[in-house]
Amino acid sequence: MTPTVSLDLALVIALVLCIASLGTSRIGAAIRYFSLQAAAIALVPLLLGTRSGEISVHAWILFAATVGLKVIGVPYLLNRSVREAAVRSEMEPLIGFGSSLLLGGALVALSFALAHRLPLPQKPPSDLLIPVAFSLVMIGLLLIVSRSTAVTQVVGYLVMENGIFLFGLLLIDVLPYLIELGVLLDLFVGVFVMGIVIFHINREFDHIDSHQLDSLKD
Amino acid sequence: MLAMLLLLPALAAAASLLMTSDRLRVQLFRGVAFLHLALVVSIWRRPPGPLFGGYLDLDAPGLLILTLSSLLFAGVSVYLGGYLDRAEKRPLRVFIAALLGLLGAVSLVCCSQHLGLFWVAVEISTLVAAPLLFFHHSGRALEATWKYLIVGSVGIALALLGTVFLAVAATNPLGETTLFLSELLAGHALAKPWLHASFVLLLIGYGTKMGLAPMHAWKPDAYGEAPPPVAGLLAGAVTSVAYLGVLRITSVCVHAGEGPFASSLLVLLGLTSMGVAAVFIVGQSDYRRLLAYSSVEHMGILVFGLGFGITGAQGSLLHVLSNAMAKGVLFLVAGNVLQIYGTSAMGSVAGVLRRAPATGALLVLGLFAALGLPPFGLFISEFTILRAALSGGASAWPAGLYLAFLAVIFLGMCAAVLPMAQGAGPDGGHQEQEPLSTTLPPAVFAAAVLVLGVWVPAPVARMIAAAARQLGMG
Repeated sequence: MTPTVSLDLALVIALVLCIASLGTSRIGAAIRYFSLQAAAIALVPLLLGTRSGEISVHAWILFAATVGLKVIGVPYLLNRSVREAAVRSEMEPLIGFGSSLLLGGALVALSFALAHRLPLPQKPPSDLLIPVAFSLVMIGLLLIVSRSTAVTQVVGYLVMENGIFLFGLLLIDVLPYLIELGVLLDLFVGVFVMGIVIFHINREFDHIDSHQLDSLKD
Repeated sequence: MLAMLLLLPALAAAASLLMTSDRLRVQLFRGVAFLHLALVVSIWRRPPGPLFGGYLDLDAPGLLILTLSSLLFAGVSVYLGGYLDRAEKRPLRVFIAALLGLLGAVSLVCCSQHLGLFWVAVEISTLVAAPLLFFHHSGRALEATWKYLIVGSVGIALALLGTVFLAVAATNPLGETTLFLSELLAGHALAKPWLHASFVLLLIGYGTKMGLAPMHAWKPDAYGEAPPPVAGLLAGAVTSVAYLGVLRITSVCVHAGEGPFASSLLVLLGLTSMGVAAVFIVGQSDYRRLLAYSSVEHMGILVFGLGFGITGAQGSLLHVLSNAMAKGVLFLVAGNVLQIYGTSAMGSVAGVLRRAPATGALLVLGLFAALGLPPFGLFISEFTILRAALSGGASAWPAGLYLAFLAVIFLGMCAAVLPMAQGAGPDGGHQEQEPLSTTLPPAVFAAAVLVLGVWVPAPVARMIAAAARQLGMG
């Protein structure tokens, strides 16, 4: 398999897993899909490297950080909060699973249209990179607004972040390490803080349905 | 000097985590806040040079926002002593550490000259504020914290995407790019479609942090449930820091010749925020949520002003200073009222002037300041922005709507707050103790808004002019 083909394959797998997480009602499955998606995305910097002949230290660091944080660390944290709460599956999503899948398909189409409207200064390594990145960002947003459990909202946030990560790979050789490390650290601490809040939500309300959090309104 | 400014709060936050006494922690916070203010004053006298190869530097807009934040932290550090004495006792270890962390994060945002570093710093400020909101550990506080975190995180993620897009827009044919503000403002070539997308995303992202409508969903809950001094810091300092982000990206757009594109979006978002605020202020029954909507209104005025050339930008920059001080008055006074009456329902509060004269007087003064009555600073800035909106020779619609929303908000706020101040309290002539530490800081902030209204000190005026020039309009 040539590097370009494997790069496209990794991107398509990430996209399919992302759409799959729209269709599932079990929270555990959504977390698993996310973890696999992160694994596919972790490979992208390495595949970009093999395309140009040599894998830089920078790409290895990104690979290691992504595997450590997103494939192992964050799913572990999320699984623990699901175990502690009694909730295993999504209750009453705002948008049903069938309609979210349809909407997800529409968002993917929209992403291809958007990518077409935004020509890159230089030819991207794969024609799929930008459309898949847009799709992940938009489907992540859809997950956040349409789901009612706090854990699934965090998964949506992470899917969105994976999309931004793909955009960031366009700049892998030109942006300083410092900034990337800052971004990764912020992400991890952010999910950690959300985990703490979810822990308190469990204790306070005996469930993790954030739509029950609605005593504050005008 | 810059290094000290950033290291001082960070080290103190670490020290606060290690300390054993809560009283010592409060004193540490007060000491650090005033030391920080002293450092900022010395920077006004002698500007420091750039640090770390230009990543850190203080330019005019950064210094203005840093100064107002430092002032607010110093005021709140005094207030906090008196407030915590009368509040429900809770462990302060994480709380004080988070306050110091917030001071450090806010300082880092103001000093960032690289838009990637800027984003990292704004994200840190979002995260360290979460324990501050959750201080009371109640179910309602939890709900507010969750909304703040999830809405804030989505906003900040969109800002990250916008930052990446900006770097893509700045990529030259050799494959090099930059996110240094100085290079972006010095005529670095930018790809237009990516710049447009980047501006929209950054405006939505940092606009979420500012609490512009329709991304303001977190704000009433957060300000309504957080301890009032914390809400004051959020409304005065943290939103101003996010405004700095909007200011930065607007200046990049203007320098790239895309000023009209940026202006139209800024005006639209500004008017939307003012309109939403007007709708929710009329008939609001909780005074802390009322202040949150007042903050949405003023954030709207800030970005509205940025849309009208150099005069509008000057008005907007003056407004950010006055608004921060006015919010300092109102939220600290709201904290006093909350402690006296034990509720934030407006219907249960009456006769503050009689029951606590100093607090009552400051409540009325703060109200007049926030409404932009002369001679307060907000009158001058709102008037400057109105003049800028009318002088362009373009349509008079935006200016008309701006005035209409201001009028509705004026009536709504007066009808809500004045009955709280007037009348006899439920228990007649009984007078409350008012410790100086809880009345002096809001009084100082009120004096500051007044000073900004009658006479802007010459160095401040020069700094505002320099900041408006940096925007590159006219």
